[in-house]
Amino acid sequence: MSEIKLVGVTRRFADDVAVDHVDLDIADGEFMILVGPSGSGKSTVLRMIAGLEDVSDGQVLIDGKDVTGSAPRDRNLAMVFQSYALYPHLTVRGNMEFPLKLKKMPRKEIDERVSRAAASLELQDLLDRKPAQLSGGQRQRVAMGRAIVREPSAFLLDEPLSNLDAQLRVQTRAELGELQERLKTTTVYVTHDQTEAMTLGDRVAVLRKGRLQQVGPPKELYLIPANVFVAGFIGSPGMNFFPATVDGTTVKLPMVEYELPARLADRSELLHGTHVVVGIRPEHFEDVGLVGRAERQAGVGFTAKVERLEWLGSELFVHFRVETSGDTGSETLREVVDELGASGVRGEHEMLTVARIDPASDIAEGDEAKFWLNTDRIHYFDADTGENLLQKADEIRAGDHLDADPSSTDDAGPAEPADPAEPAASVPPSVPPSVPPAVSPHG
Amino acid sequence: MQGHVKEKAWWSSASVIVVVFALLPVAWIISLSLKKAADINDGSFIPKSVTFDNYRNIFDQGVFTAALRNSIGIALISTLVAVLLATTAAYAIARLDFPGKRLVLAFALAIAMFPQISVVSPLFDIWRRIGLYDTWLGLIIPYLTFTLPLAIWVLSAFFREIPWELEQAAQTDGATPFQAFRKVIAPLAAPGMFTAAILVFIFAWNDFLFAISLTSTNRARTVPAAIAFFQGTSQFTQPTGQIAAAAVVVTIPVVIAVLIFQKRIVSGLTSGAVKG
Repeated sequence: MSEIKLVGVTRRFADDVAVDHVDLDIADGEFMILVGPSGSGKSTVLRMIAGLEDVSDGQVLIDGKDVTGSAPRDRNLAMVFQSYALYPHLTVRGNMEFPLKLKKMPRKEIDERVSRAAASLELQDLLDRKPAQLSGGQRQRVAMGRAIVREPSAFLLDEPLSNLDAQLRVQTRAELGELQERLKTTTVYVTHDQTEAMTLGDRVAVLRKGRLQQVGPPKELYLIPANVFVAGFIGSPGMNFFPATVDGTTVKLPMVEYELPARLADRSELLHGTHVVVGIRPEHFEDVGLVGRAERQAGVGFTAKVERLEWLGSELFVHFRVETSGDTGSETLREVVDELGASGVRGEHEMLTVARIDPASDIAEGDEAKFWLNTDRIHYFDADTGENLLQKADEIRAGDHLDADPSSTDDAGPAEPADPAEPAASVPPSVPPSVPPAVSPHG
Repeated sequence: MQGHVKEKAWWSSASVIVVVFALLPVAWIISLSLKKAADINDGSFIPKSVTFDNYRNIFDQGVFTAALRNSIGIALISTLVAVLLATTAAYAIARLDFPGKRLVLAFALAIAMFPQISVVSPLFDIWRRIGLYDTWLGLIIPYLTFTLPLAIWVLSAFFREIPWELEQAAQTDGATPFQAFRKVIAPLAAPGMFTAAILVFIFAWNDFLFAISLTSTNRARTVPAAIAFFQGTSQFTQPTGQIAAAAVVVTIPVVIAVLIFQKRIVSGLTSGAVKG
């Protein structure tokens, strides 16, 4: 039970800055996710909290106490490593007892705590095995067990699920969330997988190249991304980006032109003259034939050639190509797309657009299909800085959605939980999690 | 099928030749040690009559028992100190990034390759002057010099294979750096320590050059050197039987040690893999 505070935390290596002035407040009992592509510095931040990495600049505070220079053993934090780091020469019991024995805890209490943790993680039958005799999932549970028995101030988890296969990962993810819910222990969780971030976290901190991009509840990141990077990183499949020119209240996209919605019209001067990148989530496209007449007014129709279909039963992904006049003109965007593509977050070329439409649609591969675009749900970014130009407007719009009954909104991404306030992880482990298996990023 | 049999025959005969070649001298020494003084020169491989007189005889000589004591003491102390020092040094080399790390390793290897004969006479002079001549310490020091590099190499290979995360896990679990080393790293590096220990022990146990040059009395003379000082039963008899018996006696501990730790040494010399 502790709050963790990072103040301007920086980690410099010989010739680069791995973590650059990160400020982060993690509340008592909060489940905080650090997410970002590889090389974003998320693990380094975690290791600095743990005390395993030197802090070049700034402070780490636990419950208001400056621990920047203290040894890991003086911080009472339990860490679960990506490799689990189980002690191979000790049995499961030996591994779980290890931290308690170091504390010179009475034998009776050690046994009590170990058997309690073993019961809650279903490890009772494995207590006398060595780690080498365990499966990946079991090892993961032992690593969790070793952390739980200590009843630490906080859990630090470094990609704890990345060594599990897809199915086990979804199940373990749910169990982890449930465990944290029950123990109410402050948890900092590092992952590169935005699905894990969205489903588990009370709040998510997105990092890129050592800099904090945005911190907020999953839904906020999804609906009000601070910049192109967060917009592209959160959501699966990722957001589609297009170069755009704004003339008065007319927005010109490569495939279509439209008028800014009324509520944005008075902000159009923010867009005018700026090099603009437009971001559209896959679910904001639809097959024209399946859009009601009233709704159709809120958007615009266009035609595009369908390159590829992915039918997943409950959803249908349509990939269509958009002709552009060559250069997109945005260095920032290209950089971000490269980065996200390279880290496997979103393998799409920016101009091969993906739309998530109603599976009832009869669009076929190769068709010149008619699409509808919800122009009210479009994000506008500065092409040079990547900043969200209409963040205020996004916030106002998101306000309606954040307050609204989650079941009635249709804007939830495929990987988004039904309600971030109640993480999907609260599902009992025996029941198949309500979250569909992660939609693997395309490409 | 024909080829298979041929191949098998070829391999077995080759094995037999190698084994005979390696073990014949040992068998010959054993045979000599069991012969009576009168039969020593009879040239037959199987002793006409078996006697343990030679063994009884050497244990009656103060030269041998003192030497055995010296050998055991010096070899064990050298082993203990070498493994202790090599462990800490190898750990530092494997874990820390300090300037000149590669130089240290290269230098250590160079020292191990140094011809021992070239340092013997200066050592003799220095030891005489500072009073280390004919003492246990006087032998232990050169043994450490020549065995530490090898021990450091073997052990640092082991430490490098132990995931660093294990140590970090121990530290976040509440261990001091020393506890993390003692409770997690050391048990995992144990095969490496055994390997290093055996190598050091055998070097110290078998050494003849330093032992003969840097000792003069029973105070510190080890068995290989002492054997040269055996005396025959009379002025005119060669102590061949006793020498053979002494040779057999000093071979036994090494053989036993190697047999006991064979598995660990093999795994130690080949990889040092520690898989979780």
